[in-house]
Amino acid sequence: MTQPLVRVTDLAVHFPIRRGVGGGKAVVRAVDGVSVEVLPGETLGLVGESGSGKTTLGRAMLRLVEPTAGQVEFEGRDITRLGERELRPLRRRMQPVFQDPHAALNPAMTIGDAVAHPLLIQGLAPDRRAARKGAAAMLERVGITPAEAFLDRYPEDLSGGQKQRIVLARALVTGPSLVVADEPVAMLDMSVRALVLDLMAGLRRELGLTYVLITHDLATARLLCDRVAVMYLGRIVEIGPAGTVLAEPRHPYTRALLDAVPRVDPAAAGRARPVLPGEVPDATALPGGCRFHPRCPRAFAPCGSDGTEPVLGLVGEVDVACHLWDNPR
Amino acid sequence: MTGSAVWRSRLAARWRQAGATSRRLLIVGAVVTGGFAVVALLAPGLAPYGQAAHDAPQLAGPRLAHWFGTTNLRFDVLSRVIYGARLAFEVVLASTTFALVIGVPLGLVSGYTGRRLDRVLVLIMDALYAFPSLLLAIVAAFALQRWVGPGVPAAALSISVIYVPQYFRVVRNHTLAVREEPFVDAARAMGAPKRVIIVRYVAANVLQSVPVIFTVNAADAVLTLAALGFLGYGVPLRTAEWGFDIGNAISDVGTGAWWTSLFPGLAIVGLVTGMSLLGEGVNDVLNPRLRAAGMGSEAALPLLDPEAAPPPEGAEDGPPVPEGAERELPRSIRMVDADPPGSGSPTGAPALQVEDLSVAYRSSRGPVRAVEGVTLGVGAGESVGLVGESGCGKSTLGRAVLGLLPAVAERTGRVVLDGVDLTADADAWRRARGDRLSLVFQDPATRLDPLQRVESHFVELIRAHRPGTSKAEAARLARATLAAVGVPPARARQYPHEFSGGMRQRIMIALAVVLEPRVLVADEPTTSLDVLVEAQILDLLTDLRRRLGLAVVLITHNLGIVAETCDRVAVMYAGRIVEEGPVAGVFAAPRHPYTQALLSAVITLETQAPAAVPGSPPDLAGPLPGCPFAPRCPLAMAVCHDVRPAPAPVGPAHAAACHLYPGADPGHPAQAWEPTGRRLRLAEPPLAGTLR
Repeated sequence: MTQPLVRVTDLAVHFPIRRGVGGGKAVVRAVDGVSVEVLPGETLGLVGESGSGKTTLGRAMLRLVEPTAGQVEFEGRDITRLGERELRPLRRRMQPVFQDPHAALNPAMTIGDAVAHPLLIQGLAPDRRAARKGAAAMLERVGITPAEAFLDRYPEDLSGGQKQRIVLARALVTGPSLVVADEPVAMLDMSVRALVLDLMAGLRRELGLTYVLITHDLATARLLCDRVAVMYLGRIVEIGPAGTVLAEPRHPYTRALLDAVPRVDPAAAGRARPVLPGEVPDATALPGGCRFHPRCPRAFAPCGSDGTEPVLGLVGEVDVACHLWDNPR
Repeated sequence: MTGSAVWRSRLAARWRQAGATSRRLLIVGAVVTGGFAVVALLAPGLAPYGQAAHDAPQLAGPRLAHWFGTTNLRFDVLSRVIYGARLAFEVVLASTTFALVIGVPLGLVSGYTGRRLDRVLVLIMDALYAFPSLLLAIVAAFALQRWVGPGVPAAALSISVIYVPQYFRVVRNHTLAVREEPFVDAARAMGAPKRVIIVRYVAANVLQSVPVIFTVNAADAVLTLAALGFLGYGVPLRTAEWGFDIGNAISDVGTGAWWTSLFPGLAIVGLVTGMSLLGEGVNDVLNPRLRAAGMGSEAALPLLDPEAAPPPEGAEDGPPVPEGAERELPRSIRMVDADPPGSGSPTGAPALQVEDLSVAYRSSRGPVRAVEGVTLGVGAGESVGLVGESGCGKSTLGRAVLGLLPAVAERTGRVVLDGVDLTADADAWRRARGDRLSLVFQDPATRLDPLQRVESHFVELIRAHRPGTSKAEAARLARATLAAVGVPPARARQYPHEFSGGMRQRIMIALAVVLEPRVLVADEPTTSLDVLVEAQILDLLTDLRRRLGLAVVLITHNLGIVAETCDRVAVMYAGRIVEEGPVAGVFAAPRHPYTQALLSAVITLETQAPAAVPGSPPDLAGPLPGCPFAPRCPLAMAVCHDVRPAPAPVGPAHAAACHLYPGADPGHPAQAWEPTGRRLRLAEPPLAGTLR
């Protein structure tokens, strides 16, 4: 058994919020008891609707949010309580890629400086000239060629696809082992998504990267991920090999997500697909019992407010948290 | 440094973008302010007498020796006005600089750090801000005169007390926004220390707003200095200061000596006006978005556009105006007995007919032809999907249909609604908008007025278009329509922010259909929603379309949505429709290479190796001879680069504008087709590697 690159144990991330004028305080339980391991070299997908906690879980792995409880280990080291100074040398090994390439680059910084800055911060280049050289090499690698022509340009002149490549270059320039990519192609045109995904797949192979891919798009997850974790209201409800989870979903929520994906298949035109009613409830007031039961088409007695919250249990090669699978045959 | 060159070119571009009025304001302001500055700089040379020389004849009128006359203290007024300009500039520059040096760093640190430091500073600054500014300056001036002694530093510091909270608030609020940007997260993730993040990532973006406050405050500081001087605070006695001189001249007014107060007064008005114009101009040029927001207000809330109201005398040729209580419920409510008009089959003449529509945006590089010769018909109960990459003109086409193009757009061609040419009758177009012709936007959050209850959005809209309707009747209609789209009517009196994104989009849809439109344009109506809610909203739209016989134009980049909810699809590229036909036909056998490439690029659950469309869309400002897709087309022939292809029939009700099909036989059965990933290869292999 290989040592996991990231090990998250019983993680909770809660955000206190104030409600309006004179309103009481409430707590948004964005991540609420998640344990998951990311193995070296794999791509783990975190999928779910907004409010499922997938983004917060990814940010907690990078220590960009403070965990409320639980533990995050990176490369065997507990980073849950490390200060910013102790984290700094580890930061070069774990990097984010963001959804909105237009907001992910500092508009006041040239492309060259944006990609060179991590090298300088991390002390991986002696001076600005050397850092820009390193930046140019990484830019070439992600297909921004010739890099020299881009070094002194500002992000506003570039297309979304180009910007996302530069964001990738900035993330990879320090030689990370873990890249947490939050919806890396959601804001890109359909016509360039394949290019960016293919670039990410190629870089993973060449640089031996481990990806955590956060996405609401099950098709992208299916294409890129080895394993997929489906999240709902701060919990993982199903986790297992991508092919199995997205082809034979066990959890009714995963099933609903898959049913809702619009198909381009002309044969399916106008088909009546089952539509799940309701929306993700407020994460300050979680339903009792199974968190999904108010929307679940297959909810039965044990799932309701009087019932218990289901826990992840192995069914075949997939872990499912659902009372339907309490006694797998 | 290359950075400054870039900034210069950006400024030049902003200058060109700014309207002629803004530019004129800026120039006039700069000339006036500059004139005063020159006078101030050269004061010792220009002034005929010293500022404190009081040996002139007492209270003498204007004459050759004393052009502006003299005062009762035997000062020469002209010299006092000239030296006064010098003092004004000294104090104004010093005070705004003090305020900037104190307020900006405090705002940055407070906004970025947050927590207790932020709370304490905000409290202090708010207290200062709430204080009457002149009173504050007087108190400060009084205290500083004791400690520092009278003079420019004391006056400048006492005035700067007023402006510190202003810089602080603007910079802090801007910092709070920038702090949440992903690029700041990226800086944290690379381990950058806080001080580096604040300087290179936050301050670099926040400081753009500082020049604007600076110029606005400068004008205000001139007035404050004069007020202080008038009241006898600020600078030492005998120093030439306009306010002080006016205060001194008050007793002269009774004697008929108008010159002692008029000239310093004119100087104050002149400099304040000059600086204000300069500030306004700088604001317009540096922050064009603020101006654009004002300009685009019509586009922002077209449904509630006051212009959309019919003229007071009532709608002569508009739809019949039902009388108050006689008003029928929308068909959506009494649909129980309504016959669904077939599953989306078009009936008779199209409800919406777009004919040879072109839209060009004026730009510094010449006209950007966003839409070029589009002809499209949508029948009642029919849904047409408009698809293409971003920048292909699909949203512009949608806005052009609504008549909601910005001022920089020029349109030719016709938009015909139920046989009425709206382009020929601006009045009819205005009345139709929000009524028989309505729109649903991508982001419902920004389209609802946060200060208005949901219900009053409806009441306002209904009463604008149906002047006879009572408020109670309109509210009843609002609730009935909300119920029909799945919003509990009991929530009608809540505010927009109390609703989730999906519920807000339902509200927008209810607003769009409450007056029973003929045509509904939906521009990416589900793009900001989650996949499960998206499915609900799409179902709702389909349901309403069938029940109300709506003609729907669905603008989206998501081909899956079109496949599942539309009857026909129009593929746009570079502002033109390159292929159009029934969804089943186009998706099963796309004929245009662009449609084929687009379909191949869709990533589905079954995709093994996705294909990309190589290259990028053409620059619409440049000349586009031939087929605009030719440079990216794997099948391009010589003719494609020179001759623009005309739409030709390629199947039943299916047309493509491509030289591959010169007048193809409409009866010819479409070829079987499979996405690129499996069969058709683009000119160069789009994927360098393979996934997994």
